[in-house]
Order: sequence, then C-alpha cells, then structure tokens
Amino acid sequence: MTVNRALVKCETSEGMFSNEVAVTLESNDGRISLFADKDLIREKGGSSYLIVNLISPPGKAGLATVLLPSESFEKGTRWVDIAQNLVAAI
Amino acid sequence: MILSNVEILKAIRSNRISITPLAGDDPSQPPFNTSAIDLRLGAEITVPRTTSPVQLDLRKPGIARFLHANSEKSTISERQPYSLGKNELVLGQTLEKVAFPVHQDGVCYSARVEGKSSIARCGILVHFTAPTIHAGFEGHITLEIINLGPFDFLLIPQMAICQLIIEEVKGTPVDAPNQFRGQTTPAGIIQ
Repeated sequence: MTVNRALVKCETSEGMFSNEVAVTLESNDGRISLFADKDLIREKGGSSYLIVNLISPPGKAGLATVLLPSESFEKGTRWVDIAQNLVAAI
Repeated sequence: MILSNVEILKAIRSNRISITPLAGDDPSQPPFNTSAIDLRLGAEITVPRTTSPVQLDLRKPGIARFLHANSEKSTISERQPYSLGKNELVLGQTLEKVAFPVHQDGVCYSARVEGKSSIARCGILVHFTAPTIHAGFEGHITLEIINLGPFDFLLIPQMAICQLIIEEVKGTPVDAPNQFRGQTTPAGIIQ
C-alpha cells in the first residue's frame, strides 16, 4: 500500500521539457515553484492540481503537510505545509 | 543495500518500482549490469540561454518559470544529434520514466544516478551534485550534462547515458497517522 495521495491547487506553465510543467503553488511559507511530470497534474473545476503524497491531514491550524514530487527551488525541500482550502482529495 | 540486477528486475516485476520502457528483461544482458541498470538518453535537450547577464536568486518566487523562459528546447535524432561543445552545459532527460513510490506496508527504494565509465573517459559529466532519486519520485530523470573534455561530443538519443544504482530504504519514510490510512476522502479535505 502506498501512502495516501492528494491534490494541491497550483498554477502551471510550460516546463523545460515537453513532458514536464513548471508548477507554482502557495505554501504556508510563501509561493514556491518546481518542475513536475505532466502526469502528476490534474484539472478539476477549471483549476490545476498537483498530485502529492499526503503526510498529515489538516490539523487545528488548518494546514496539511504534503511531500512534493521534487524539492522547490525557493525552499529547497519537499515537505511543505499547505492551507486546507488548497488541498483536495484525488 | 544496493540491489543486484536480479533484485532490480524482481522489484520492477512486483511493482515496487517502475522503469518504463524497460530496454530488456534479461538480467544478464543490457540494460542490466551486475548492480545497476543503464538508462538511455531521451530525444529532447534543453539549452540554457545566456543572452544577458543574470543573477539567480532562489529566494525570489517563480524560479521554475524563469528557468523555462531562459532556455531553449531542442529535439535530437540519430541523424541530427546534438554536438556538445567544450565546457558547454545542457539538460537532458532519461528516455525511461521511473517511479519510486512510498510504500507504507513494506520496502521502499531510492536510487542514485551515476555516470558510465565509457562516457566519463570522454570527459563528459552526465550529472553533478544531485544524483539522488528519492522515494516518492516519479518522472523522467533530468541530467545535467557538461563537457569537460577536449573534444566536442555527440549526444544521440537512446544512447546509454547513465546508470541507476537502486537501494533499499531501511524503515518507512513516512509514518502517517493510523486513523488516516486507507482513506481516500479524508475529513477536512475539500472535494
């Protein structure tokens, strides 16, 4: 059994290769960006979402901890806290 | 613990890891080595643009978009390979897409990208400083290819460009709360 996955709302733009996208998302620690495989992007209700590993569901502070597919440029880490309203079930 | 060729194939066949397309399934033949598997170069090269002086500041948001905006994709073929000049850096990708899922109930794997001695002898680095493919990664592996040798070097798609050393991760990387395991629509998550 793999860990639970979830969707994190994001903005996407063209990546450095045809099979990837540049992803920008809002973490609790500011806007971060990374490159991700196109297959990890889902479109839902007119918005783009990145598939992540969900480490812990939103707690009292309304933040979920997720593991990104690769580290962000701005924070250099894959572990980020995301506001509850930006996280969706797959 | 580094996986042997036979154990790599077992891990693929049991869906603990994924490497697609697999160039062969005989562990005593290429792409397998005794303790690694060779990966091939994909058909797309990205060349950084250096038209104006730029200082990268990773503290500023939007670095991924910036890198895309300041690079140029190039498709290579057997007939039109890319000639990598001396001291030139390009980004490439493995033809194979790999996945190292984080498993809660068993063994996870991670990997390291390493060069091949044949290519290293020509003065070519195929990666530097970032060889680790962490558990949880899924995608094509990006290669930072630089020519430190005295000759130009042709990058040809499907050439065996690097090797992947696969290791077992001791322990579970993620200890999710018990009450959350197995749920697909967790409470508190928007639908």
